[in-house]
Amino acid sequence: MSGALISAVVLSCAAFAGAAGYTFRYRRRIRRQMDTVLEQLDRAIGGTIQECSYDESMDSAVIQRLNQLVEMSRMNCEQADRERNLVKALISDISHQVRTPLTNIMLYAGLLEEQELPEQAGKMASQIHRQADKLDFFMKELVRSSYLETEMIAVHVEKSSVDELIARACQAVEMQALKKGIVIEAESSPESAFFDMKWTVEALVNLLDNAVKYSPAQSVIRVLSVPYESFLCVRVKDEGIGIREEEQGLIFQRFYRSPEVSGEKGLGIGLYLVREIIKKQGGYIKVKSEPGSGAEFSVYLRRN
Amino acid sequence: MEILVTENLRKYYQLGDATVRALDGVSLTVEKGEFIAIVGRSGSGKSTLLHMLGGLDVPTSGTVIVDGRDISGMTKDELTIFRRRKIGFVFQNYNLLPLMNVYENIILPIQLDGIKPDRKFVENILEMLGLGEKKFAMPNQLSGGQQQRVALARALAAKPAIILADEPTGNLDSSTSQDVLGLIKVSGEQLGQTVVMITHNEEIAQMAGRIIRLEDGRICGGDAV
Repeated sequence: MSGALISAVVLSCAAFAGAAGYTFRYRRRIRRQMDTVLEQLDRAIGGTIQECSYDESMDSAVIQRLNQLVEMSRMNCEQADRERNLVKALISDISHQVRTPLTNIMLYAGLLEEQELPEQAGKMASQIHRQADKLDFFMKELVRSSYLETEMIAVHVEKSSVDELIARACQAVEMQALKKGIVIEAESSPESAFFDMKWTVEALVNLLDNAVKYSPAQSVIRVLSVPYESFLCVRVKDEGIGIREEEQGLIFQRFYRSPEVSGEKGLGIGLYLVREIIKKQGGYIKVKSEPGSGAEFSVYLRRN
Repeated sequence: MEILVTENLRKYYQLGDATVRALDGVSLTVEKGEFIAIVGRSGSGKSTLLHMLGGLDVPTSGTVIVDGRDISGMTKDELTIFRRRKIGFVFQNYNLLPLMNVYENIILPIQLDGIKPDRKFVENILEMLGLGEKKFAMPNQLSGGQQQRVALARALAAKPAIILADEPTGNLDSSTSQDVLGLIKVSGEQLGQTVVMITHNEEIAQMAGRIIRLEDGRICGGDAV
């Protein structure tokens, strides 16, 4: 009797222990499987096609599906890229082809103006010149806006000299400044930072261009650089009309034009372009200004 | 995509007989990838708001929805795990563990979650924040700015839904502040991270894409939607 009881107890204990052991092992196996799946998912998110064995296992089926997903998203990206490139090529083709005859028109209109002409004809000649100038401006803007439209800004970041950056940018706006009697005071700096020389010059020229455009004649524009631990700051400070606080965020938006400057030429592309260029290089831009007392734009470039 | 929504959030404290209305009906929406500053004087309820957003405290009424999930109804245990996975915190006093080196501090929250840290991603973040050479340094060997950068790296490494920063530059001098803020902004942009930052400093707030002003527990300016 008691023998039977004992053996029953022992048996049930053994069965229990066996079940517990099995459950434990089962759980561990599931856990391991889930870990592998998680890793595979992570790799798929990263966009890698994973090797899979062609057998009847679930594992291979999962990888197969993941690879399909990755392929699909890749194809979509490639197609979008291709279309973008087509538009890009078209825009730059057209704008270049238009600008050649346009330059000729401007040249001949200029020559015509220098001729001895009856009064009426002289007026017309200068009218032609002025309109051609306008057209030229719009073509330039068109090229510039095509930059931002289509991922055209391909920056190649490398350690470059800040001095050279400032010197090149200042040179580009020298003539314009001279016409208004504006002095550009640039401090030289021994620092270097990580940026793309060509695009960053373009950005800085845009800032200086604005500074010249919106400053009174005979004023001063200051350009200086300040090193921080992770960033290098290039500041452009003018004595112009300034920017109201409500507008300080808006000016970096595409096609935003302040109602106060509607008399000036422009399409509202410049600052947007500047911000995109700087952002692409891991930097950022900031503005500090009060209406009437000038604006200060700070461009932060990476130092490491 | 909306990553964070609060609806009519209220938090009342009972102080003796008086009821203190720390938050009094705050509704705001944050889109994925935004960098938002919440500004207000001390006592305006901004820290309370941040605690609610991060699931560190329970609202009296109203809802907080993070990444599509209502967290106001979660239990304490659920909240703990939720915080670890979805929220990255950056505090004023860095809160680094002094006995662990930089790398260990950064991967700790990931390890606690039972996940193998993505080494490459962490290295990438360290490089981005200029900490590449400080990987094995101890917190007490670092400057304040560097410590805050480590705290930022720790928040970023877990790939959370939102990063909540409570006066992240409160203990730093102005030039280091500029540096750390720039890194918060730039790293957020590059990783598509949503950042909500609390500050009382208007100039610091200017770095954000959007500013929300808080006064006496209510939103009184800026753009709440």
